[in-house]
Amino acid sequence: MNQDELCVIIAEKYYQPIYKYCYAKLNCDASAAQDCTQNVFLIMIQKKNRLNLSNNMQTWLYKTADRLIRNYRRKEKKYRDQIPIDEIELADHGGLPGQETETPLDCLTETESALLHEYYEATFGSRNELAKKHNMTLYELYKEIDRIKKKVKSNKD
Amino acid sequence: MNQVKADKEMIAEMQSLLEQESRKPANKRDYKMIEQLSAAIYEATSTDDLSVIAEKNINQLAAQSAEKSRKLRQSRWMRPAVTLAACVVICLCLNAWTIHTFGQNLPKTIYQITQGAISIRPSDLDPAIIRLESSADDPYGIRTECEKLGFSPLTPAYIPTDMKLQDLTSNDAPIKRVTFTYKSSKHNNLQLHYKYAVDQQVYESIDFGFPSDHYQIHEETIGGKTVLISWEDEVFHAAFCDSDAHIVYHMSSNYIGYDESYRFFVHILNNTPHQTAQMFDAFFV
Repeated sequence: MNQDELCVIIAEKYYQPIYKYCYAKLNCDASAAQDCTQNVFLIMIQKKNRLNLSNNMQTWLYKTADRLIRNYRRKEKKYRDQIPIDEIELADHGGLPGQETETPLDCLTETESALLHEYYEATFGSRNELAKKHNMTLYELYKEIDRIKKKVKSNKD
Repeated sequence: MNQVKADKEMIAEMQSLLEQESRKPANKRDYKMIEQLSAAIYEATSTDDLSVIAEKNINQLAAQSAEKSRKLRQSRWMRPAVTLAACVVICLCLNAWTIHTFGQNLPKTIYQITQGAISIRPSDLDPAIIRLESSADDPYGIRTECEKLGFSPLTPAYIPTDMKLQDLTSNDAPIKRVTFTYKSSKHNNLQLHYKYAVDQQVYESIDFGFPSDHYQIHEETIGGKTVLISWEDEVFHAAFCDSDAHIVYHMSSNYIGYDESYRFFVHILNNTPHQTAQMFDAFFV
């Protein structure tokens, strides 16, 4: 297998994780994330003869992405400040239907309902503890909440 | 609590956790967690179909990678070839310029200046010594060699022991001439040229140096004989035309020094065998 083929295989494996990483760190700016991701893989192509592509490239890719994100942030002053939560637009995966009806929530189990309430009542910074309390990581908590929301939404529909 | 605000706070918390994790040294990071958090943030805030974007960009990268490999293959040969061609052009231009400006061929001049030091030949390391037939009144065989061509010049009565005859050239036509080249272990050299000039024009020509400001050429009278002397860059030339015998004497030396070379030439002209060997050995060694 030649270097070009290895580059393509690596890009296919890591493009999405690196893109999502850049996206998350660049305040959900899709265009900036795409630029950074593309540059990460371009650098890999430029250095393909010096890099050991058959090794695990994950660490190198994340480190390169970090460097490019830092450079991007340096250029774009807006990333220096705290992430402005209010500016983030949420994806429409189907949010909660609201307080006007209680019917959709009836489909939830007691545990799910309790978790949903705890989630909404948690203050900023305390969700990590909430996740630990339920033996979950923050990511797993988010996925669980997302699943519950989808369940409520489908029940409503 | 407003669910939108809660979700945004959740994203902020995940971003904060991601930031913490990515601040750790590369070998201590939990890449699985980083991947999960990044994916969660992306899914919460974007509805784009990443697989489409990824496929398009990966194709672009593959094309760039192939193009870079092609260029690299080309440049592997092109770069040295262009460098070599540039060097050849520079050398040719430099040579053309030196010929035009100074009338000197550059490689030849370098060869002369370095006295052939740039050429490595096994024979230089162990040069062959030429031995001539000698007699009591011709201790180095110089006169005998010249007499083979029909003339009998004045010769040195003593040549320092360190100087060995390493080259001898003789021509019968168009001009009768003999050249003896002596070299020492310290790369000094001494050349004795004898030219038998029957023709007046040839006789008057003394071919050393260039009559320019660059060479310090002057005439001197030594024992009633007019001698032409040139001294430049450690190279000594002296010439004398014996109009009675039709012989041109020309001696040249490299890195021997002016005084020593001058005295040696005077010694030949005066044919003074009484000079002590030690004195000349001190000159040259």
